Amino acid sequence: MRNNLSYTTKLLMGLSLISMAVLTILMIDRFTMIRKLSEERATNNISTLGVILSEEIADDLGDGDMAQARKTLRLAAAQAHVVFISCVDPHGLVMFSSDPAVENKTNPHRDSADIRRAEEDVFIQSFPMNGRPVRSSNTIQIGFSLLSMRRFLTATLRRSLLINILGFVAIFAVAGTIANILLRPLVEMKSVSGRIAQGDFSARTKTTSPDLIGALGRSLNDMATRLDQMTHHLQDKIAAATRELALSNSDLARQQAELEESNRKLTELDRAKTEFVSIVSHELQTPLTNIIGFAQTIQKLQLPKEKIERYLKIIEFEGRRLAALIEDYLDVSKIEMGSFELRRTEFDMRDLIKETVPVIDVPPDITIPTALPAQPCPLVADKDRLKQVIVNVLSNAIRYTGPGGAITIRCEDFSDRVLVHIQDQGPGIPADDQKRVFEKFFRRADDISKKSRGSGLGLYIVKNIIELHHGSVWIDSAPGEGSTFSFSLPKEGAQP
Amino acid sequence: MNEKTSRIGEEENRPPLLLVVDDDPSVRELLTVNLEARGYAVVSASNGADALDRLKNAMPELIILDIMMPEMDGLEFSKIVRDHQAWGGIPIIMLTAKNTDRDKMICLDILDADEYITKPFEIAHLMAAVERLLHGNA
Repeated sequence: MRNNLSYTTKLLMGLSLISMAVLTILMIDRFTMIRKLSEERATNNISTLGVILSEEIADDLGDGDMAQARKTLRLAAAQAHVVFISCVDPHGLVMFSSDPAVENKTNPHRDSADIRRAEEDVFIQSFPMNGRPVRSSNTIQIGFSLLSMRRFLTATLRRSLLINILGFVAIFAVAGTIANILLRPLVEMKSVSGRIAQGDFSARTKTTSPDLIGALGRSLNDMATRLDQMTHHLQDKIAAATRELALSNSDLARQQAELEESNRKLTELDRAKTEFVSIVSHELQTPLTNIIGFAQTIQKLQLPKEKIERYLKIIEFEGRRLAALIEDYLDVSKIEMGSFELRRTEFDMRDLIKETVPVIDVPPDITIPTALPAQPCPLVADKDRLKQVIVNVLSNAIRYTGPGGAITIRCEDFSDRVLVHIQDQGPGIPADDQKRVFEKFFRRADDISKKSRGSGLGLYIVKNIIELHHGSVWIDSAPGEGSTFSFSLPKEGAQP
Repeated sequence: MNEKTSRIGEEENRPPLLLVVDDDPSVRELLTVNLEARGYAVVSASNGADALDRLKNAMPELIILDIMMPEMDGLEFSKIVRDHQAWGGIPIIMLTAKNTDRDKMICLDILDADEYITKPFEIAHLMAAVERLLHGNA
C-alpha cells in the first residue's frame, strides 16, 4: 500500500520541489532587482535632496538667516535614509549639523560616522553650494544609510520564502491526502485481487461505487464469483471422479483379493492333490512290492510247501489290501469331487450291526460284544456305506486294542435319530488328537498294530459318510480309559 | 565290542550280517528270505529307533533301509549312522517307495547313501547291488 502511494507521492514531491525551486529562484531574482532599484531610487532621492538642500541652505545663508538654515537642515535630516546632514566650509570645518556633536569640528564625519554608526553602512555624499555668491565653496554633506531598507527587504524576502515553503508543504499535504483518498479503493482492490490471485475466490472488493473505479471493482467481484463457481464446479467433478476411482479401486482390490484367495485355494488344493498322489503312490507301492517280490521269490527259490503257501497267502492279503486302498482312494476322490452318492433304504440298525461284526477280520484274542436294544432301530440311510462306517471304526479300534481286549458296540434308538457307540479299551486318544483323527492320512504315534498300515483314510471317510447323512460323529476319550466313537444319524422319515 | 564281534565273525568265516529296516513286516520277510537264500545273515528292524538298537548289538556289513517309517524315519537314521564313528562307513541301500529325483538326490548326495532303489523292486537288482557293495564287483 505504501509502495503504491509512493509513486504518486514521488511524482508530486518532485513536481513540487521543481516548482518551489523555480519560484524561489524567481523570487530571489526579483528581490535582488527590487533592492537594486530601491537603492538607486534612494540614492537619487538623496542626490535630489542634496541639490535642493544646498540651494536652500545657500539661500538661507545668503539671507544671513542662520536659524532658518539650521531649521531647514534639521527638517531635511528627517527624510528617509538620512543619517545626518552637515554644512561644511572649504576647510572641512563643520559649520552646523543635524548632529550637534560634530559642530565646529574639522572633517569629523568620516571618523565619527564610522565610529557612531559602525553597524550602519553610512554613505556620505557632498553637494557644493554652487551658483551662490556667498561662501560658495561651502559644502552640504549628507550621510545616509540603506541598511534599514535592506533589512526590510531581506525580512520580506525571508517571509516570502517561508510562505512559499509552507504553501508547498500545505499543497503537498493536501495533494497527498487527496491522492490517498482517490487511491484508497484501488489499494483495496489491489489487496482483493492479490487474494484472488492467491486462490481465495471468496475475496470481494467493497469498491462498487457507480463510477469508473467502482465498475472496475464490480468486474473484479464478477470475476471472483465466476472463478469461485468454476472452482467449485471443478472440485465437485474432481471429488466425483475421485469417488469413482476409489470405488473402482476398492472393486479392483476386492477382485484382486478374491483372485488371490481363489489362487491360494487352488494352490492349496494343488498342493493337497500332489501330496495325496504322493502318499497314495507310496501306499500302493508297499503291497505291490510284496506281491511282485513274493511271486518272484516263489518262482526263483526252492522253498518248502508250507513257505510257498504262506507267501501265496501274503500275496492274496496284499492284493486285497491293494484293492481296499484303491477303494478308499476312490471314495475320497468321490467325496472331494462331490459325487459321493447315497442309496437310501429303510433298515434296522441292529440288523446291520449283527451282519457286519462277523465279517470283520478280528484277531483271535480280541472280542467284539454287542449290546443291542430289544426294540427296533429303524432308519432310512445308505446301508452299505454305514456298513463301511462300522467296519472302518472297528478296524481302527482293533489297531489300538491289545490282546484279550474287547470292543463293545452299542445301539440306541431315539424318536428322531439312531445312535451307535463303539467303545474300545485302547490307550485313549489325547485331546489334541481327537479332532485330527478324522483328517486325511492322520496317524497316531501310538499305533501298536503289528499288522500292515491302513490307508489312513478310514475315519476321514467315516466322517464324510455320516455328514452326508446329516448326522454327526464324535469321540469320548481320556488317555488310559479307552475311546468311544459315537455317531448319530437322523431317521430321515423312517417308519417307526 | 562291535569290531570284536565282526572280527570274530570274519575269523570264523561266518556269513556277512545284513540289517534290514522296513516298517512293513511282509517286506522284511521278503527281504530276509531272499538274502538268507543267498547265504547272508539277516537282522531286521521296523523303524530307525529299532535299527539303532540292533546296531548296538551287532555290527552289520550293509544296511537296507526304508525311508517312510514311524518313530524314526530312514533319513534321520542314516544321518545318525553316517555321523557315527564306528558305523559311518557301513554301506547303505535306500529301498523306498519315494521315487522323486529330489528324494534320490537327498539320499545319495546329502546323506551319502550308496544305492537308491525304488519299490516295487526287482529282487535280482537288489541282490546285485548287495553283492557289489559287499565284494566290490559289479
